[in-house]
Amino acid sequence: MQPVVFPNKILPYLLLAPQIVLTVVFFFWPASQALYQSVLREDPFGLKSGFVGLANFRTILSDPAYLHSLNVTAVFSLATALLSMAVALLLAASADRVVRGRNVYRTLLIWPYAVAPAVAGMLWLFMFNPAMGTFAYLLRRNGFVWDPLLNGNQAMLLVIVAAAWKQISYNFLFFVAGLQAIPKSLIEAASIDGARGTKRFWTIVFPLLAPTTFFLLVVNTVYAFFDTFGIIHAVTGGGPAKATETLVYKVYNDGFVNLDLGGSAAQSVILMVIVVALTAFQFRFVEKRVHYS
Amino acid sequence: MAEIILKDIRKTYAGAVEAIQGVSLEIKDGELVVLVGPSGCGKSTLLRMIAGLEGITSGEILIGDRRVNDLEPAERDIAMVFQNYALYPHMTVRQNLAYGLKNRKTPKDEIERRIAVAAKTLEIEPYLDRKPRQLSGGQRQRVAMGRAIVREPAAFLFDEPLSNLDAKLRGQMRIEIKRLQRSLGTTSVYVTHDQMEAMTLADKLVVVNAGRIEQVGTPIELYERPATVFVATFIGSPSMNLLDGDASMDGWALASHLPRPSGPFTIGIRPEDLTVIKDQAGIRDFEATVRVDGIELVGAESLLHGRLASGRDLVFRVSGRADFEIGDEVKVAASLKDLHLFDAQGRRVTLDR
Repeated sequence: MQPVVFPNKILPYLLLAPQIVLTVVFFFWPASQALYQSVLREDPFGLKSGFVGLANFRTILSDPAYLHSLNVTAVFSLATALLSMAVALLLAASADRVVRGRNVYRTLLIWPYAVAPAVAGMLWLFMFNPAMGTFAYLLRRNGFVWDPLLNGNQAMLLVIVAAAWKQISYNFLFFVAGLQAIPKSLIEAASIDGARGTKRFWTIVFPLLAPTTFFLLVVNTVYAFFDTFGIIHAVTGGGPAKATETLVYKVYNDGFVNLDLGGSAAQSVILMVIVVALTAFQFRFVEKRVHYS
Repeated sequence: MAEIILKDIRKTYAGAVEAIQGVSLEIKDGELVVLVGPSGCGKSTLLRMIAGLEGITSGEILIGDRRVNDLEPAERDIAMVFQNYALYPHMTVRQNLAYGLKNRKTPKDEIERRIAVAAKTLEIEPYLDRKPRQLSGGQRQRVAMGRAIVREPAAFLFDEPLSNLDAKLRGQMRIEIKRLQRSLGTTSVYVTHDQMEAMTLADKLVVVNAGRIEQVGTPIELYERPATVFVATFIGSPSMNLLDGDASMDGWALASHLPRPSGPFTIGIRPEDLTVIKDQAGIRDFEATVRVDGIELVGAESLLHGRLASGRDLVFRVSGRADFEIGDEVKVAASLKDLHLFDAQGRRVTLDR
């Protein structure tokens, strides 16, 4: 990159200002508020709050419900990210081989991304609600005991599928772009070298897609941690028996439903640390195995 | 070791564009055949059809007595060197070389042996454990060659392999490819748009134009006896001077005793066959008077751009520095054996005495 020297001293700051203002107002300010809140405790009437140090954190970390939620989040995030990426990759690889009408396929596959999380959740709820869902009816008629309202594992499966479904479009777009960026001559060289079908995919295409896959892994993890609140809220409300209560859902529930503002703030601080650490970990260790051409 | 035979190969794209219009060609075992032509003439398509990367609309391709029309590229027993090398960027040089062999279930020690031999021949031993991006253009080129060699295929296919290199390296690699091909004795098809490369490499030169073969022959045959105007202008640099016989022969003349073709014709003379004449005496087969309007000194020789009275250009060559100035009037001549005559369709006409 070529360093650019502005003749005017103030202009570069002015150009950066909108971005900085946005970051400060929507990230640094709330984040610092959360940090501040996390060391306070409200009195039962919400009239005043006092400094309690790290007491909120101690309470949370020794709370079995919180540790359970941590576990739920890990399962949910991992499953969502893997499922949505795997399906998207499969679809992208298939779409890459379509010659006629490939744009139609692509456009159709991008649509789910335009659906709001809560709406996506409702969609899946309607399909699989044990009382009225069409698919729930089909499942039960075929002898499968389907009741996500009572069975925690089934509820988890439902939110994972719903959350993954919504993210598939996004991943699909990136995988398609990634596949197109692979030079055609490499594929041809591989076909002359005697690699076909799945073998070619795993030895040539997949390694060359690694930068895209890595990027999506980071994005999907963050998505599963934060952006799936709407889906969980709409589909299960964290239940049954907290089986689908992820960290971000618990932050909301404890803070705004149970009005434990200090504890909720402490949770959100921990959540923030976890995501930062995870992303840093991914960049530090996974990226090493990624080849950028 | 195999011969490659093309029988009336055609390729028609949707929309009835005929990219290859009936090409037949016989490539002998161990021969290095160069397909040369301007960009878009179909030479690369032809090569890719032999490789199996491009389908054939009609015709037949045989590699070593085997009809390969319906075979996958991998089953045709060929190796290809691509213009952009197409090395697998995520593999080391060693893995790049081994990939094709591994896919064919070659025993491990045999793979090792072949890589060792190829690496030694191509002098890429120090780079075997590097990734392609850590190599220079010339080194990548060698690795690409190595990947073809280790396979020990029936034929090598080269798709403009040197066009991404700088001029000096290109010259070196050209010689090396030739030497390597000689010593391995593997049938090779080489595509290039560079006529210089084509001339120096080829055992047999095939000039392709607009989807069909213009002429096949040794480089020197094509240079000395071009069958068409296209070949005449394409082979040789600077390209052959062409003068229309039916135009008013302003400023140039053929000796009156020479036989002429009936009807309009084109006469071609290579710049190197024109000599400057100072004295006026004697009869010359071809003679022209030009006004010099450009002098290019290219080291050992000078290229002179002259203009005939009719306004046509005539390029000629003198060794060393030219001893005249721009604007001078110069007489040039050529003898009959250096004249090329073409009829109105651009085909070569033989002059009978």
